[in-house]
Order: sequence, then C-alpha cells, then structure tokens
Amino acid sequence: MNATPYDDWREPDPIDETEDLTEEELFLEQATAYWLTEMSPEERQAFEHQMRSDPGFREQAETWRVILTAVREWLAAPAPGVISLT
Amino acid sequence: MDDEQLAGLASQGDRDALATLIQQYEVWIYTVAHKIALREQDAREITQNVVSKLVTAIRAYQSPGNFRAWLAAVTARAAFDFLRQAGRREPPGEAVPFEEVKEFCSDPAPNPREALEGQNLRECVEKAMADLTPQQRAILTLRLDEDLPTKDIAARLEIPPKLVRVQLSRAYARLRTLLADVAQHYFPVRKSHERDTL
Repeated sequence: MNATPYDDWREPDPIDETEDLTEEELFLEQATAYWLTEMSPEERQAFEHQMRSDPGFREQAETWRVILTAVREWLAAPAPGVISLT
Repeated sequence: MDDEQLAGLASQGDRDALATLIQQYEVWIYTVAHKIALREQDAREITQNVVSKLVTAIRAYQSPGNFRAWLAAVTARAAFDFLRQAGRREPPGEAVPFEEVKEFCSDPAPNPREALEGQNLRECVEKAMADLTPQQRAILTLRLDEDLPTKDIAARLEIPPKLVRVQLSRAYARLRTLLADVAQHYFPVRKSHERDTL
C-alpha cells in the first residue's frame, strides 16, 4: 500500500506546513468553535449574525452541529470487547 | 482521594497510587485505543503498552494538571506507534471504500425503530471514522472527546500546531462529506434555535 501524506506521526508533512485551509475547512473550524462555545464574544456575535442573515450558512452550521454531536457520542460510547489487566 | 491527587503521588513514585489509577482507567484507555485503532485485539495490545509505559511516563506528569487529557494523549501516541510499527496503515477489515460509505450514508432508509434510535447514523459515523487515518482519529479524539484546543493537542502529541489544524480540518471535511446526508435525514435542520451549544 502506498504511503499517504499522513503516515508519519511526528514529522510535519511539507504539504501541511505550507498549504492553507480551504474555505470549507475554515468554516468547519469556526463552526466547531461556535458549537463548543470556544469563540470570543465578538467572534460569536459575528457568527450568529451570519446565521441570522444567511439561511444557507445557517443550514450548514446546523447540519455540522448534528454531525459533531453524533461523532462526540460515538467517541464517548463504550468500545466493544473487554479488557482486564488488573 | 481524587485522580489528580493520585497522579501527583504516582508521579513521585507511589506505586499504590499508580496501581489505583491503572485500575480505574484501564477500560477507558482501552476505549480510547479502540476509537483510534478500531480493532479489539489492537486496542488490547495498545492498552497493555500504555500501562507498561505509565510506570515511567507518570514521572513526567506535572500535577496539578489534567490527568485524563494527559492519559488520552499518552494513549493516542501509543496507538499510533503501535499501528505504525504493525504496518497497519490501512483501514480495518470491516471498512468499506469511500464511495460505498458515501452511498450507504446518502440513502439511509432504515426501519422506523432504527430511525428512532439513530442506529443508522451511528453505523455511518463508525464507517466514516474508519475512512480517516489513525492520526486523524487520534487528533479528533483529543479535540472532540477531551475538548482540547489545537495548541494543547500539538504540545501533548509533540507535533506542529499547523499539522494538527490541517489534519483536524481535513477530517472535519471528510466527515461532513460522508455524514451530511444522513444527519439531515435523521435530524432535519431546525427552523429556530432550540439550543445554542452542543
């Protein structure tokens, strides 16, 4: 199997070091910060203003909220199988 | 005695405190390892590796801190080291190609009970997570399960913040591509704000 750009753990991928985030990636980063309540009051206000004024933006943000919730629930759920070392 | 106190004692060489912590956290370590490795046997071996490493690694723990986040990062690094050494870069056997995941998650159509329980959505999340790289799953675990900011993740994993940011953003975009349809199917976008946060 060919190596992917992400195969090495600690060595920075030269593409990652120079490449900017796409518009979609920036939106998802911002929306995550919004739903995790990590934005500053000013950032939050601007994000909410855009949600109010742009239905498409709002729909995307709301859909991302559902996905984030589902992923967080999956991460927090018990894993199958058992472990007992002690 | 709480976990932070136990971790503080363990970092100073108290073996009983370390044993107590391991007993309390072994299932949780296994769970984190499984979310990254996606295979039970791998998760067991990673858990054993983490427990072995803790005997020496705990000396570096700075108390008071965030023991659970620290342990999650230790587990994430151990998981990735294990997967790299084992040459297991490919998705687990039960993973299906991207296009099949997309198709499966674009046309849910489960029975009403499955819809009610969100079973199909959970299956889609599992398949979508399998489509990510182990590194992306590890970073996502620290970001979304431990709520760690990018800089903290980078420091704990000893990788550049930019790399964390890019990997995280690409993982988000991949998840959205795979899960947007099914998310809208089960939970149509609300017409008004019911909640403002997760």
